Amino acid sequence: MGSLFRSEAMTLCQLFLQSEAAYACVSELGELGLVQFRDLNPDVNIFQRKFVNEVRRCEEMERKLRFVYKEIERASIPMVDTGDIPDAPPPREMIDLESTFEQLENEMKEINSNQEALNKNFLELTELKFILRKTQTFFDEVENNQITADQPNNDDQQALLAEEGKTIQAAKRLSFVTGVIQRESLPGFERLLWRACRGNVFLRTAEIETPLEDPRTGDSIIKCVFIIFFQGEQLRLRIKKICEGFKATLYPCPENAAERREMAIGVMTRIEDLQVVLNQTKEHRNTVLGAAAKNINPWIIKVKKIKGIYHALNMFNLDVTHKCLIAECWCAVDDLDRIHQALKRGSEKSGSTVPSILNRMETKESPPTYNITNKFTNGFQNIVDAYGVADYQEVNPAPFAIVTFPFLFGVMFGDSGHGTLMFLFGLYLVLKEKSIAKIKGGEMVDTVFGGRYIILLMGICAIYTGTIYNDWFSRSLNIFGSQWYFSNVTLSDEFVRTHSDIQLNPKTAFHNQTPYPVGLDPIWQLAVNKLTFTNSFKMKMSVILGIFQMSFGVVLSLLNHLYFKRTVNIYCEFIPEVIFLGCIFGYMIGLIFFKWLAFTCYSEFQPSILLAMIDMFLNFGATIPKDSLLYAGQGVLQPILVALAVVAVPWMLLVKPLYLRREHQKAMAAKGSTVRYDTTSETAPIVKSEEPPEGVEHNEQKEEPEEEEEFDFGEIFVHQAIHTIEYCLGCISNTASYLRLWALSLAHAELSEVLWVMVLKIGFSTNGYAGFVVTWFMFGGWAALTIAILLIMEGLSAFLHALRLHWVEFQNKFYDGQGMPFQPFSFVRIMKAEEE
Amino acid sequence: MVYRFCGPKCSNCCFVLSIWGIVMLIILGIFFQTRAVTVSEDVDEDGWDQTATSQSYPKISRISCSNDCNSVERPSPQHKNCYIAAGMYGFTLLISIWQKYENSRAAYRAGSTSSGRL
Repeated sequence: MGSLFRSEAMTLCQLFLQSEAAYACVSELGELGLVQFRDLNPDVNIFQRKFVNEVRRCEEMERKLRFVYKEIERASIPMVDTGDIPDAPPPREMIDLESTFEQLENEMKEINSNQEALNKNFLELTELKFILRKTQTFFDEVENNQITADQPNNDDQQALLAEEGKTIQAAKRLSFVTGVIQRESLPGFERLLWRACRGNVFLRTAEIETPLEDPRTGDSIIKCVFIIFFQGEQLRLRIKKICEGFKATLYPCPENAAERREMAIGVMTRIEDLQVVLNQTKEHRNTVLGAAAKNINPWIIKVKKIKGIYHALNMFNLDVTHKCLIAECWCAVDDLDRIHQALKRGSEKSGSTVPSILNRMETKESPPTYNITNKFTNGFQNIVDAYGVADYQEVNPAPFAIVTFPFLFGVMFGDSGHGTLMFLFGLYLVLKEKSIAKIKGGEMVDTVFGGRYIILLMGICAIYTGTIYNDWFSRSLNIFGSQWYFSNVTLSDEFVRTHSDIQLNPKTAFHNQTPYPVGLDPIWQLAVNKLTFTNSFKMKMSVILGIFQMSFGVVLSLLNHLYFKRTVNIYCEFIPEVIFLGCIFGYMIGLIFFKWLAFTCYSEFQPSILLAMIDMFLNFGATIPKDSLLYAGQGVLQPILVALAVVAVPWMLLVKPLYLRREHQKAMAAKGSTVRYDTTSETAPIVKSEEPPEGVEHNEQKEEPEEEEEFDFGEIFVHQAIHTIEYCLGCISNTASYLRLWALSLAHAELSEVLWVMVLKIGFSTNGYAGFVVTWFMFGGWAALTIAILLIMEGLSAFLHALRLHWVEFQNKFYDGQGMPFQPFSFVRIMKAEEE
Repeated sequence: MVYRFCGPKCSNCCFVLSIWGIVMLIILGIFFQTRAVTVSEDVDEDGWDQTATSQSYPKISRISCSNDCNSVERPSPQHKNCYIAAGMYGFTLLISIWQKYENSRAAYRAGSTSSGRL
């Protein structure tokens, strides 16, 4: 049974597959997705492997499919995605698929080239049509001018126009060129014409209103019709060159109006004919693509599967007799039965008479780490794996993170209102997960969706801590009624007049001496000194939570030592670590709890814990004055604790290296003894006669002769010194680091308070009829800012800090995170990787 | 088609905001009416009477002694504004529901004509 606490017990297996059954067997294993093949020929170039030809064929098929896919997308034909995934086809079907795709591609190419030619033709005709139409207007203008010029009149302007008419009339004897050019290049074209021909040409342009379609890319382009009048053959050549340079297309245009009309009619009929042909081509293309669209998704999956299988087969070794393939793979011990069955199915499918053989192997290598997760635990496992994949069978922090991660987040995000919103959001994602999972929304959406259960739990924890802090959108809720009250004595008129603030005395102003049932008393909402009180409370709470979590991490390291039989680590690391942590920080939180329980407002003195802790070190052994004495015997106990903590440091530092050296010398003295050292796996000596735990044996039984040479006292000592310094300083700095719990919750509370006062309160403090409009409007703004700043921004910040507390402060007490992940050969994984 | 002025995202956003607005403003309205401690700091100095209810927790600097005993059960004036604003959010809720309905119908129509565009 898989548990999240330790990774699965793995084993290395050897697979003997008959050549003819190999494909079917690997296909079955791919569907199962439980084995990770090892590359048995890592030195062989990828092009020299056995099935490189098949892989190449698959890639060719993929290319063709991609081409067809793009064509279908461009024609915006809906693709049928039934969601069912076809099995990997038998190898003989590959040839059928290949020929199908070949045919499809050729057909598509032919249709495309035809269509392109037709489109080009169509474009040319349309352009010609527009030229005829537009130039007609140019010529008409000329004729109009001629008419006006013929009419006698006295108007100056008319005379001017007439003059212009005459010049054009003169130009009529000149030649002209008509063509079409893209609108963007028109200004440059005009300028160059002017310069190159020294102003001796006359250019008229008109824009084509309907955008034309580029036959190659299908984009729409806007073009202009132009007509250039000029004189002489040299200018014609020059103009033609310029036109070429600007990629303008020139069309012949008859000079005669009647000819032009005739040509226009001819063009129109040709366009109509071409339209019919074009429509038919398009229809044909759509039917071909439509047929392909029905099958394209299964095809893509099939080809991917075939490719995956041949990739896996490329990792196998060929037997000397060429009769069978040999594969090596990692798999979980619990899955062996299912793998056996899959192999049996594969052999049956291929019709092979010789069964495939699965052999367990002994190995010295460390197996990959395989944690079985479900949709709930997956998010938390990802958080842990992002830091480092656990060593093989090391204690996995993920199950503890399920509890502590959302809780620490909640401590920093403590607000029941914001927590409710986050909870509802998480709940929505969880309840609608089936329909949301289908939406492909990019990386950001996937990340949020993958962490939906984390969000849900974070919301619940934020509601809980929000209730404890009594913060509801930064306001306190008075559900049970405050336990504080004002006695009539303190509220006398005279007293109020003379005092601006009243300090409530718990002796007189506290109901029944019982606190508010849950969390902070709502009276603090009104108090001037609310922050002073909550800061002290939250700081103590952060330190308590932090030390509990760190101690828990140290305890988990004990589990690792026990499991891997590193006995020396228990005596030389775990015990002094516990003593060091307990004597200083454990004692401190003991004092915090003690003071909460034992001291009341009736106590004679109120000694400070902070001063007690400082005096414990600075005034070592001094007698404690009565007013700062927390309990009887404090003066005796504290020096003992300090002494213990101080002793723990050299204990941690020296005992283990010295012990290892002695053991080593003993071993050297009696050659061939059974004791040796394993410096690579965190030091511990392994006694051969002892039965190592299952699955770990590979780890320890390394190459024997070399190991004994490798014992290096200096290295071990430096390593141990680093560990000791890291731990001792870490205890202090990590405790301080946990104060971020307080700092972030303070920041969150203040930020939400500021938002309430600066935005929402404006609505409430508006009087009169405008009041409700402003309230309505301000609430909208406040809600938007609450989501953007407090939920998303502050939520991310609290998330990151919770992440850090787990990665650094918690996991460095016990977690190595040097393992390699188990990456089984699985079609589902291949398909997912392709999608990304 | 003519009556659709909010897209699916916009109408969903308004939908959620309206529900939140209704719930929260009604709660706030009740707080103002009962003069709960939650909203004590959001009330103007004159309108707020710290000694009005037996379960109040005055921050003494705020007490105005001139109107201490006027009325024991005088609610603060903000509660009406809150209720009206909640009503306005009810109105926007109805609009967003209507728009959501129109959007879903348009999406259905688009789907049935197999244009594939939403």
